[in-house]
Amino acid sequence: MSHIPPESSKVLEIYLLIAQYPMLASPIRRQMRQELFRRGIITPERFEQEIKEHAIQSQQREGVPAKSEPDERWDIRYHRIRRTLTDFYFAYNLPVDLLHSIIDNLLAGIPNREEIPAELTLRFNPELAPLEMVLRQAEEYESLPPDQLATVDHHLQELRVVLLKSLISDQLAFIRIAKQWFTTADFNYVVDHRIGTGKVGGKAAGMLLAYKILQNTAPQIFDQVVLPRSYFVGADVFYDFLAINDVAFMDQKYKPMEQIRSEYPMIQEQYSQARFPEEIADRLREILEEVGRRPLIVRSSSLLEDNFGTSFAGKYQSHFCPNQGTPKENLRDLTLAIRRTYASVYSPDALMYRKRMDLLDYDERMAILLQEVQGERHQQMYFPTVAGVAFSTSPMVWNPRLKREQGFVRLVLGLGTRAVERMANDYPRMVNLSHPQLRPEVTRKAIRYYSQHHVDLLDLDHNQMVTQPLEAVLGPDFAPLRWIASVDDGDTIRPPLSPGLNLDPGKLVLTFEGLLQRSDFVPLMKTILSSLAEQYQLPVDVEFTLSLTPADGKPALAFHLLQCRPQKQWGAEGPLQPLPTGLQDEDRVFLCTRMVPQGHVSQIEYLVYVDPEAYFRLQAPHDFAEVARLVGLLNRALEGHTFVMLGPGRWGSTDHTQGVPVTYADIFNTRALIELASQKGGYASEPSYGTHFFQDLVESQIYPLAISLEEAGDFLNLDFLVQAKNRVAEFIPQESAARGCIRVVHVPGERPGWQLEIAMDGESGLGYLVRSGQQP
Amino acid sequence: MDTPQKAFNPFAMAQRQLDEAAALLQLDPAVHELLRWPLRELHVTLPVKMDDGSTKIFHGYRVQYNDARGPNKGGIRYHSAETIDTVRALAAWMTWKTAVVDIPLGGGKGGIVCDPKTLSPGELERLSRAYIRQVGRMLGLEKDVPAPDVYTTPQIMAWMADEYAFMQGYNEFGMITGKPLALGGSAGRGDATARGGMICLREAARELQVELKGATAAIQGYGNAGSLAHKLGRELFGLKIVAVSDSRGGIHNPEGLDYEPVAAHKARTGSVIDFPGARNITNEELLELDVLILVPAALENAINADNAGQIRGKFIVELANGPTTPEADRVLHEKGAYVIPDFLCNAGGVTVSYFEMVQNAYNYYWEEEVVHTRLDQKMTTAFRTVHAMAQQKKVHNRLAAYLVAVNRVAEAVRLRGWA
Repeated sequence: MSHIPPESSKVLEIYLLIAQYPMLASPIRRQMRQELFRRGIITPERFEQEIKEHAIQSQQREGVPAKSEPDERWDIRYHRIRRTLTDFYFAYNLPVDLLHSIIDNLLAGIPNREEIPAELTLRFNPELAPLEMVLRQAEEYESLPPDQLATVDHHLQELRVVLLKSLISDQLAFIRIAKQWFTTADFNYVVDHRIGTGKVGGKAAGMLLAYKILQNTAPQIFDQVVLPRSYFVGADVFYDFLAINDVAFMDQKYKPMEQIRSEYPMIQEQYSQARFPEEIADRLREILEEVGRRPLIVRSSSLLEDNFGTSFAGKYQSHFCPNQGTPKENLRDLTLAIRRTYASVYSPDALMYRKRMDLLDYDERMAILLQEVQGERHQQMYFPTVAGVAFSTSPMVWNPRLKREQGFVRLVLGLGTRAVERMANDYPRMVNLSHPQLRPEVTRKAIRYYSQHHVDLLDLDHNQMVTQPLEAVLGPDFAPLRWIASVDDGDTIRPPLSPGLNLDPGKLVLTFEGLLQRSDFVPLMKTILSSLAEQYQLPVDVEFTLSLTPADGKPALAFHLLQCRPQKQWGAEGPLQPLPTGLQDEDRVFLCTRMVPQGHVSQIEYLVYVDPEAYFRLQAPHDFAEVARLVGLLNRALEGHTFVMLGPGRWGSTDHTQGVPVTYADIFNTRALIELASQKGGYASEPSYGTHFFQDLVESQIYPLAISLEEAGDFLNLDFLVQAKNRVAEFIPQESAARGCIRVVHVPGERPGWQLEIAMDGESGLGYLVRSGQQP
Repeated sequence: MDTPQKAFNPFAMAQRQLDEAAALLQLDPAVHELLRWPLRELHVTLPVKMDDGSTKIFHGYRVQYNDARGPNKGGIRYHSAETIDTVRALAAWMTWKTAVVDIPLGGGKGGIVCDPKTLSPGELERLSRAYIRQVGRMLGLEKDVPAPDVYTTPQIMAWMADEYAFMQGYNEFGMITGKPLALGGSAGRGDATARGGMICLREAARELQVELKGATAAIQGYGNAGSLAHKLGRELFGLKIVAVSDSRGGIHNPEGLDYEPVAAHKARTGSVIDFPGARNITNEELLELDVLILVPAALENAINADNAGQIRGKFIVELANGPTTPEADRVLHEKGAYVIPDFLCNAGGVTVSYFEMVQNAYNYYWEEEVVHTRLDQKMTTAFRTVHAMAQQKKVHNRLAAYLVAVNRVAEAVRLRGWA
């Protein structure tokens, strides 16, 4: 029999003692904690932190994925652990006699010495009280000396939660984090900058929370973090707007998608003609006077937007207002931009997304985040020197040395539209923060081709947003040139050593090498991402702009925080799904474990498989090129279907002994490009992970994967591939040696009522068969 | 999963090509046997300090195939699947290439087994310098002169020249070519390959008494060589280039395509396809167009047994490496097509590399026109020699080029008393 330490029996004694007072158990334990805190045995902060750690460990023990537990269950878990830890700390540090006296005093109605003085007791129900009253009471508590403040901490927390709920967001996951950081000063800021009533919406909430987290947890870099001048049009204004104009289309969301699509132009037209509530228009007029002629952006910030798990990325509209007209014109443009953003609540894209995410029944309301565009004037152009989107966990890696957890950034010159969206033939600089200089491209030509060639900016003379070729923007007179551009001299891509001397703008390539190598950008970005992810307890993505001021040797950086939210998946909707478990062996098609991106491909209809044995058996050199050509034919023939490609070695190698020598044009319709790697004869020594056209894959949301046939854990269900009916002849009637290498598997044909899925969680990628409409 | 062992060995293939030429030449058996093997090879192990403080060990090679005619010449490749047999084969081909254009050089090749995509610029520089510290003892203007190749750049050549200078205690820029212009590079290198090919075409047209002005041409491949062939073909001869292509497909306009707008379109969109005023075609259709001149400038094996019968071009200007398979070669020869074989046709690049060495040795640099003139002389002479050999031996041009090259190396070997 194992030895039980005496303290264990004390824990039990305390537990049994308290169990005798079921209705007083909570106040008893509250006072026990106060004793622990007062005597310095543990600080309240440390205590709460420990509860959190135990709660997370218990989730792991119970097999509950950390990010998927509903808030209510998390709260139950949290409170149970708080009770246990209270007993535990008390038993190990304080005598049981003290507990007896706490209980006796409570029974006798004698207040604990730390109880709240009568004048500090909260005398109203904050949930029902006017906002102003709640705010004043919270201010009053915050101004108390520390010893008194400790006694009302629970009241203050309640008030802050009520303020968060009425001003910012009522999403529980948000409140759980935000209540630690927001103070009345922050609520006053929101109230002062709010137009109308109602919450400020998801995008504003994420931005404000991120700012507060950095302020409190990253003091070493916080002086570089800037919150853009912002105003918030409250979500209730949306209702007022609908009411006075009679343009509410509340049932629109339940109509068939075709009708939604066909009626949307009419809604847009009606909204653009609609009136704005007079008091709101007045306030907007005042704001325009405050900001002068600085350009503005109207950003959607709906209640659902940036919710934990539903990003709405790109579903609602944002509009730039260069703000260079007469006051009357500027107001017209501003209100038109808001009206257009309002109308986008009924856009087919947004409603389709809500339907897919099961959010249709929610009463969506649109708040507006109105911000000064961060940037600098250059001639008649206005734009930020650097804009970007950063991910605390890299959704993809292209090289085994890159460390996913150190984060990833897409950088552009000019407005951030080009970093957030995907453009054809134009590429942001992709940076993995663990190795900023390791890029997917090596050659001078590839670096130049896979770079940004066009810049989105505001043309102040013409009062509009425009896209300009790079050489029209960059030149020797652009002060931050040396930090963002390199020179392609025909031989090498090198830093601009003497930009003042004969610099040909046509030779400039946007590489951001100076910024990455000779400034504090990389450590700054890492600190920001890790601080935010730690507090969110989730990977996050952040939109930002950067201003560079030349200083001694390296530029001073100002990081303008625009947005922060739980990281969305790369190329898929919804939160990251865990890999399914409990599958039958025959339902598993493949598993790969190296350099796997995060994402999901659903309802794969076809699998195009280049059989390695048959491929390497080909003799005539032109047969290998023919395989590539046939793959290209299949790529075109299967357009409109969801399909993936599997083949030996490095897809896209020009050396046919290394892999099928396809080009991007031969594969661009596939959703995943899977390489089979082996140490045995015939294969390439290392898979390419798509690096022959990596940026094209990223911009087209094609997942590169590699199955290493000898790697422990990796797996390929060859039986499924070779036993399935080969349908290649339906697409390529002409028989040939090259066609003999290719198998085309029609998944629903092979397994009626089933579909092929690929789940990728950043660690593993699993291809599996599942009944349609079911998860295993 | 078991896969068959791959039988393809590039060095064995290079030896077979030599054997065929040797048989026709009735080459002395000892000379033949000597030419089947590299004279020297060095295997090196390179410790490199990585950015994270660790040390990684790399392996590399330098093969000096044959320097009977002069210092070895050949590129350095950075490739994850590099093998000594690949390097040997490429060193052999460099030996025949320098010989066929009659520049006083031998053949060599080098390589490092590495994936440059996983190396930072700093690591790449340290790796390149480490290679020179090991291999430098067998390099030099009079010994062996490397150049850029797969994944090696003018910048890497500059680092290597610098490392070598510190080893020697003085600058010897001529120990490596393909350097940046600011560090002893040669003018005229950019279009040397395309220009050499165009000179061969001019000479071939002269031999066959064909007028080039207004003659129709199609170019497969729009990289450096293909696009500059488009430019030079129009500038030098007034060719009517009716079709060009890249990896995404081709464009066709029977009225001809101007160079500048097509190049600008390619730079803007990444491809020549969808060029306004032209019809999109496939790469396969381009090869089968009814044109006088066909310029394969992209892929290996583009002209093969399957399509050789449909090729209608009279002149096949092989700017790419290995664009025609042996079976296709025979078909084209029987059809009477005039093939300018790759290792003659694209030897303009190595010729200007040789000029770079010469200029470095003199420490006196030529104007671009001088480079063009001298390139023209070299290529014209080389072409005429190969053409004459083909006529004399009644063989196709590729074999004729081998006969010229192997005979030249064999002659030097014999004169030096090696066999």
